[in-house]
Amino acid sequence: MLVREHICSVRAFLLASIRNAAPAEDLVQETFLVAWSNLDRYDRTLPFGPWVRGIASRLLWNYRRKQSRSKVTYLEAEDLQALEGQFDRLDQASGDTFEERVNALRTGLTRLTPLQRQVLDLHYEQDMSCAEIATRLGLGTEAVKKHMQRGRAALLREMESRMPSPPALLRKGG
Amino acid sequence: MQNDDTDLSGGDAPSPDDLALREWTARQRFVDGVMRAVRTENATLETTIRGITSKLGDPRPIALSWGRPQSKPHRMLLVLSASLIVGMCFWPTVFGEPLPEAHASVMRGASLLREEGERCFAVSLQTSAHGHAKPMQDLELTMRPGRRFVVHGALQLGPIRFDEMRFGCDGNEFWFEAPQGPSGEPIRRAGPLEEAPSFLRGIGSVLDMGLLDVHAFVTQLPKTFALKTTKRSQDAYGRCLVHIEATGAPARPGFCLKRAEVVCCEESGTIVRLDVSGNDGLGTEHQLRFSDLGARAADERLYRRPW
Repeated sequence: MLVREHICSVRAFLLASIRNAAPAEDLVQETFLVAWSNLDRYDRTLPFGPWVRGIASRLLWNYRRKQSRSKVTYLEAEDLQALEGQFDRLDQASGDTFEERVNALRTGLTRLTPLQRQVLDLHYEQDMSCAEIATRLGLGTEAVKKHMQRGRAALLREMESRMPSPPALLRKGG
Repeated sequence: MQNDDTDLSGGDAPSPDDLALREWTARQRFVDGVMRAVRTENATLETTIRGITSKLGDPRPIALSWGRPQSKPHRMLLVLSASLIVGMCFWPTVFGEPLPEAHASVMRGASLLREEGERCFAVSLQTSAHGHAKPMQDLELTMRPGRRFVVHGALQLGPIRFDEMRFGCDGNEFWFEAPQGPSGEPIRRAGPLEEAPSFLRGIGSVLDMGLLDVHAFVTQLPKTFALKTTKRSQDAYGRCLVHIEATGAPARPGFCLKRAEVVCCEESGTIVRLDVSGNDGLGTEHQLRFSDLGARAADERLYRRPW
């Protein structure tokens, strides 16, 4: 049950960090196995989500060391911390499940411009890269990036309307 | 799309020496990760969950690589964990912790209530005013999520006793029927659901509409109470039970809840008992116990007004 409750959040965090599905899946599994083996170190007065994402974050660093020659772009420690802060806020959003907490995302998608929605759809539903989308739509790659980035920013604004403000919940110095 | 970071550079991205870059990147990546997680197919998710749960039984501890080596888990912990893996739930309750594990157990119980449709409960009512306890009353409740329920049995209301009465709700309309009222005539009342609480109070019932919709009540528990796992026990059938205490209810009109205890079967997740205590604000204490009698096949017509 606890795995089911937190797996989507952990997966989202790892995908956001590593942006590569295969190692992210492996790290999701490893995260919960490590968490289970270290339950005696979990402070049960605190929420489980940040704790298990902290484990995911550490495993990510280990993975990074092993893959030092990879071309994958990794986040710096401070970036990772900022990302964890975003997910901590998501934990506080209204809703009992991950699906319910990110429901605003679906609402947000309907409010995007048609081009933003099309670009995001091609990227996330059809796994197309920016260059491939640019070719498909007859746009420049930079234009595709802008549509994608602005689309994501608009989705975040929609989600943030249901999330607490950042300063109170960021764990380390906001 | 593997390793495709190209959309996070260029475009509207702040320049590398811009202090806003870190926050901008985190926000973009956050939405990116959520989008990818949301579109993950259920089959992939289930495969990963199965992969995790199949390895949870491995007694070999996995130490956190940045910390001290872990000692081998206690044998009892392994035994408990193995049984919990079977049920895929409730393992955290073993340790007597507060949120979110108690919350998860309650929500699991509520989910099962919803999935199983009709559920029957034996309802015991005990009232005591100024230290004088009144005889316990026993009723039977059949409920289905969506404010559909039927209660029947004998009910003593002050000097009036209904040897047989039945009341229920079909989700919209509330009704009450007693074949033989105080004057020997049958009593039948029906009206909009909104008027039911005042009707129940009017006939002196200690039953509360919110409580009779057990599914809704349990679903609301985490939002209105502070939950804490208090203990584990074993019932006469050998089932391991997890006790979750709910305290700190907000004030509400009518029956004011003081405390609730949800008892769940550890393996199945089913709520086997719900104890609620509170008062009517007039000095009368009420204790209600809902004991699970199991699932029951029932027709939608059961909840409708019988006449």
